[in-house]
Amino acid sequence: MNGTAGGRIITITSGKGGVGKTTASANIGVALARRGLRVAVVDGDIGLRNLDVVMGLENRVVYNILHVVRGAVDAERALIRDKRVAGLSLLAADQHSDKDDVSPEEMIEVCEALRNHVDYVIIDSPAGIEQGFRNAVAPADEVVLVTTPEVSAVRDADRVIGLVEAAGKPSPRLVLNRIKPELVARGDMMTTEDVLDILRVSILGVVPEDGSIVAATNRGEPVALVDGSRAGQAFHNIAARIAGEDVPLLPITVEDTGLLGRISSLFRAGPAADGGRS
Amino acid sequence: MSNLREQPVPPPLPVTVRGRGRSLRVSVRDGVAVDAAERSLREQLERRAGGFFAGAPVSLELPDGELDLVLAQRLAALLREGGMHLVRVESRGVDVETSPSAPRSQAARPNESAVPEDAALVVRRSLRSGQRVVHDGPILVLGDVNPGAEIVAGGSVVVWGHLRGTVEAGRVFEDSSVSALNLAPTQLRIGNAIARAPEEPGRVPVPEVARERDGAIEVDAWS
Repeated sequence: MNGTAGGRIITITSGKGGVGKTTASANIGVALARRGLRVAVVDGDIGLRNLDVVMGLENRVVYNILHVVRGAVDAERALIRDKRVAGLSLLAADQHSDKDDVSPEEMIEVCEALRNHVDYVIIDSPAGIEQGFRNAVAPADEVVLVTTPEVSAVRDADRVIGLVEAAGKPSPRLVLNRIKPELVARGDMMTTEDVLDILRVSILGVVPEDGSIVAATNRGEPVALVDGSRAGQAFHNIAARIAGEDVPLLPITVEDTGLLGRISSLFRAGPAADGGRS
Repeated sequence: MSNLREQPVPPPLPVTVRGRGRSLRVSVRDGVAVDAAERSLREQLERRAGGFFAGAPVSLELPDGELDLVLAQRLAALLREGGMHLVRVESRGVDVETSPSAPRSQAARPNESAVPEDAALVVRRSLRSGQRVVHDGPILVLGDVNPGAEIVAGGSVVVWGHLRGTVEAGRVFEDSSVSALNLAPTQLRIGNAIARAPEEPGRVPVPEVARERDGAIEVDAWS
């Protein structure tokens, strides 16, 4: 918190690309809005444009962040309202410019203007640790770090934590994405504990690998809108924790894998409890 | 100069030099450019000419934020010219680099360094991937050294935590060692010897110390 009145600014970042930042941003935005909160999701990946596609709002983009930065339109007027979820809106990125066309100061100005109208500003950061990342982190009250349980992603996440802390921001909270329960059960995937043993940050949520995410993303329909999906439930829990509720982590379990799965889950309680530690 | 009362209050110096007993503390103000900081320090050192500060141990305090390596190195060079020993760099950014020494093979003679053998650099936090600490003397880390982090020490290295990154000890001083509560480095160098931690999944960490003996690295229990 930087003590300013208005909504909280949260930046979603990862270091490594392809770990699910944009999906996480869209779903956390949807899940917060479904709790009755007002949310503006900001696409910080200027030069590319993904968030509007993932959220299914691509054909409604009129103004984007660069219009706001250049003073052509107010930040609030540039927001695209999501008709499926009351209170949810998007500030799109501009595809015809690049990350150097916006400065950290301008990003701060845009987000400060937005926070007067909403409870949460969620910024989807681009991958990497260059200008676009610095722009996305500059306005943040809090940083949420997305990683997958892979050595390379964790390594990059660790680097990003160092950079976020050096920028004077509080230590990020972690979303561990695409955990595959059956691989964890076999000891072939890093466990939540393995990841936290290195990163030593607090955990905001664990999202299981879920085929419905791919399908939903391609339809422009964040899974948090679809009832009954495990990944969607994980994002609702993350939103609840962001909003300050104390929700326990979803258990990482193998579901409906028949007899074999049930037998292996009998054994999992033993070896997996301290499994994978190196 | 017609009216003294209208003279503005001089702006704060980009760099302040304060004495504390025999030692010095050099602090760089936030937002100062490298050139301005260098000029300010040079002027203040020249004002006390004649090696006034020679031999004094110096702590260098840099502004918060990501550490400016160029700034640190230029100021460290100035201090060395003045015959001072940089013993400590403080900054919330962690890429702490004090007096990068030549590899031992290139140094004039072992045990000859700008830093006395006991001038340790204390890092009071964990080192994360991409962060690097270089110091002519010993280095003590009160935290973990994560994979991707790097430590280069003239003397011994002590890690009060997991050592999983890369560490090079004994660049300047012989008989250096590397010890950690969990000694599992990506790569370990002491003097001219290089070793990797053996892959032992499920190993229960025990405190260990590594030393160079006859060109090879030996690891013993840290007791």
